[in-house]
Amino acid sequence: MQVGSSIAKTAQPIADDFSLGVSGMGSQALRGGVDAAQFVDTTRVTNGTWMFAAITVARAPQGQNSVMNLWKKTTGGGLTLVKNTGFSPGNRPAGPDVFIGAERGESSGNVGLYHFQGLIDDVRIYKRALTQLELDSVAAGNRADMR
Amino acid sequence: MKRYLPILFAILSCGPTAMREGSFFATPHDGGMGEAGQPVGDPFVLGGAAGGVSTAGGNSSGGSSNGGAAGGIARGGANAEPDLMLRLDFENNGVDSSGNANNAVPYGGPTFVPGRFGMATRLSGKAHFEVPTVPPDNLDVDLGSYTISAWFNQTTDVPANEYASWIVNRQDSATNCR
Repeated sequence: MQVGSSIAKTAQPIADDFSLGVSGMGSQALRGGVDAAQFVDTTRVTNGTWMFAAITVARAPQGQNSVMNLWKKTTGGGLTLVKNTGFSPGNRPAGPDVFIGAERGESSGNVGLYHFQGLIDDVRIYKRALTQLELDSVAAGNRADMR
Repeated sequence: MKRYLPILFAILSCGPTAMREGSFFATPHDGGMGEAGQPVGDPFVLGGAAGGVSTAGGNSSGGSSNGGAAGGIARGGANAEPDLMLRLDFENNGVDSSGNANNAVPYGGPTFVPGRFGMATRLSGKAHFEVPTVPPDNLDVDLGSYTISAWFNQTTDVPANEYASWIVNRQDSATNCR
């Protein structure tokens, strides 16, 4: 009983902060990441054109590095891996709201911070890391499991 | 037969209304749902066949036809896509078409315009959406493996003095790690 009790007390939610957006500070490039593993593409986003972006996270057992991939695709272009990296999962409290077009950050009420200016379409969240083939399908507006 | 036609017509006309009454719309906050001020697109029928959905606004690019096989197909119930926890098509509303009722609530007056597939949301100023997490939070995907994806079309640069602008973001305000 004591062992079980000990496990219950020490088990903490291991959640990530995740983000997908466009970097400022003169970059204007795709930015995405998980916790402190944040990456910025080297190519500037072209205003007025559509771009597909995705983060896939393959969670490793606690104590091991997880893997995060940042992907992009322009209309007519192929799906490109911007960044592949290992990262140590964070230990964030689970449960904050998901924001589309902004972040909650330390804003009060429902104002938000770092607002996106433009169009957003077909936002999806899957509870597993999709493969490149599946992301291609998603980018085409189809189900991930459609071949 | 003729005398039954008006009744038949009335039944057919009431169909979409009944669907609306039984469906969930994300409640607009400061700014309303769209250019028309109302959620003009008929809701998806979560958990059932959505075939024949039409748009009350008469916008042919609205509705649930996304140009892809996923559009217009029942996304809940037996045909739900495995592991898909949220899908926001922004077909004139913030309804989650994954079948998980993770509906997005609009703030600051986002509008809806023709997008990558069907309609998209246009965000300007402080317009954004929030997907509330209500226990049990089925969006706690970040406890395991997950995928976040979106199409976006930036129209205005991120201000030079700002860190970034976010398409999809989830973070705890206390840790504020990004």
